[in-house]
Amino acid sequence: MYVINSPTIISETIDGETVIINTVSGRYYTAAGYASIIWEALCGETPVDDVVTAFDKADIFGRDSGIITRFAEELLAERLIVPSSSDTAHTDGPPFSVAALADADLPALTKHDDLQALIELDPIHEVSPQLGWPFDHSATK
Amino acid sequence: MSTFVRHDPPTPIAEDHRRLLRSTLFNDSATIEALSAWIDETDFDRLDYFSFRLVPHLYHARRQDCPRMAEHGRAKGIYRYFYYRNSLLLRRARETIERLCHEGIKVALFKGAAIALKYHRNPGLRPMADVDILIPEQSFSDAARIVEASGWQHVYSETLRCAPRHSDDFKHPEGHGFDLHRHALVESADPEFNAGLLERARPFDWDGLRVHVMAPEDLILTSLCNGVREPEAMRLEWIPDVLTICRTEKIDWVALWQLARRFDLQEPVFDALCLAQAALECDELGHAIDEILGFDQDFLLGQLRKTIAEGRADILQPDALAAVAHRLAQPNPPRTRHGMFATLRRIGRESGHARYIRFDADDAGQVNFLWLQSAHLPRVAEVFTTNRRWLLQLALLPARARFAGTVRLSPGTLELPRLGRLPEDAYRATISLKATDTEYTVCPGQAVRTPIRVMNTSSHCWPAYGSSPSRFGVAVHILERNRNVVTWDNPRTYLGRAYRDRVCFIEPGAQLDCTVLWIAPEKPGHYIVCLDLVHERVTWFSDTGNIFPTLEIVVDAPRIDGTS
Repeated sequence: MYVINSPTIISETIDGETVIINTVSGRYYTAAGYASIIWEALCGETPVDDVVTAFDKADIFGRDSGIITRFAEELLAERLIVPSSSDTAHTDGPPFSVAALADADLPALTKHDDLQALIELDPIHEVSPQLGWPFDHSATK
Repeated sequence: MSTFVRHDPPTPIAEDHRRLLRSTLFNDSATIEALSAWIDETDFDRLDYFSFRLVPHLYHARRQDCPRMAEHGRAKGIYRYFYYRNSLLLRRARETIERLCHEGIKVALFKGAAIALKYHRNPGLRPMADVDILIPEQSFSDAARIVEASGWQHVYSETLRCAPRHSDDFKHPEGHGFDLHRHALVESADPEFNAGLLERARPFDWDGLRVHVMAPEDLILTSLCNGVREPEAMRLEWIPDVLTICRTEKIDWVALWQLARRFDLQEPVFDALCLAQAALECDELGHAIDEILGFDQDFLLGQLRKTIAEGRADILQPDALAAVAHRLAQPNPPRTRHGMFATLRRIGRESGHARYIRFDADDAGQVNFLWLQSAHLPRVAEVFTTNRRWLLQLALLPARARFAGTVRLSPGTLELPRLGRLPEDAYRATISLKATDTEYTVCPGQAVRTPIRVMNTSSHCWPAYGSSPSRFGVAVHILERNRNVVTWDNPRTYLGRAYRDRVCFIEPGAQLDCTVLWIAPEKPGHYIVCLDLVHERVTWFSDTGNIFPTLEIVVDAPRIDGTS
């Protein structure tokens, strides 16, 4: 099981998109769609196996059950999550489940690692009107 | 029943900002209308700075409605931008504050960071360039050393560093700011005020770090004072801040007001509450104003007296005027309607005030109606232009019998004068210093407030129209001893406020007490501070033959312990 690597890492999920910030390095990540769902599950101390089972049950990624494990490993490599000190999963709520999303891509982490560029990017005039900061004019939906 | 029909701030919040605030802070049918109107009228490419700073809160509060907004993507991006920037800022500041706490220095967070952490509970809602903390004055040198050792650079030069300013600014190489306060407010360096703020600060768990945040009443008081300090360039975040605190905690408005009264902060606190209430018309602020006025009858009476003397009784409830006259005329209250109006007219003639006449004019400057008190009728022909004096006198005739009211004017009767120079003999005045000392020593860059009395010794009114910049004010010129100019244009203290729909005028013979603010030069030496009056964009009174008092000052570099 994993937990968010706080207090270095902070995150917020809003409108189905998770923003993850490494407050020491200034790296900025976004995780949308399934990536956001997996992030929320893992940070809620849901075991990876339970997440994999839920996605399998909903038949979201077909036979490639390694997708979720690889995504979790990426989060771990970026030190956004760390192993939990607790061995027992939370059992007071319903088991983790997931439903298929329309038009959702495979889980991926978008990383912006130039702190200075991020701070200097004008959030009104230099960004993609559809996506907004931190996506500049060259980004498209 | 409230005594006031409406609150009448000199610089009301612009309609687009009002809609933005309403959309952000309320959730009713009027909110949807306000949001729709704001969306329809806003061009994001031309978004002004003050609106820009409210967008994160708007997006967060109304994101369910925001998809209707063509600029949903950019609004969301602005929220993310501040969430990111503030998260980094708070992280850097937290490390430094942790070191300060570790060294035993008491820290009280206030302003944006405190309110974002404790009340908004979201770093993205509240744009901020720095983190403000108040510390005990005796710990200042130690705290400054710790802040610098934590990677922040002092913004001021070595010479200025020890000057007794209310706070020192530090910058982080990443661009963040850290503001270390000796005093919470520039308005009050009183040690008791600041010690009280620190003492009342409440423990707060900042992700495992035990710090203190100012008490809610103190947070509101400082927010109100900071909010209205620069009315011409006023950011608006303080309004969501104050309302959010009010909605989270039970506020002891009487305690807040007692503090404001004790440290002479009533004016900015009351002005700010009225300004916000004029824009939002909400129960929370209405209740606060009622509670304050109900508690402080002296202040209420002072406000009423001032409102009537200035000629702004149109903002008072007509039914309340009788009670007002009754109370202001104590111990001999008027017994008849005639006596009541006589009392009000007498107050309307009291000296020591700027006067105001409300008007409505078309684009060509033709005045359609006036709202004025009968005490000010004799000035109408002087402060406006008329070529049909007989028609004007006819229009004003019925008004003489009343205390106050509206006068409708036939087209062509009255018009706004072309702005420009008054007759030469209108620029006659005296300035007298309230203190007897004219020589003293100040620190480099020190802000000094000099109380003065200004008298219009001419036989003309000094008028200023609506929000026109052509106003009358006081300022100083700072010269070297050899009369070379160091700074000619310095901050102004205006003689009256600029209400959009009123003409403000200073009558002949009027004596107004005010305080002129000036900043001492940074270079040590001997200087002459010359008081002067200005008719903005027209002339300095000193250029028209007036001679005003001067101060001789010595600017002395302070010793390293901060004393001069």
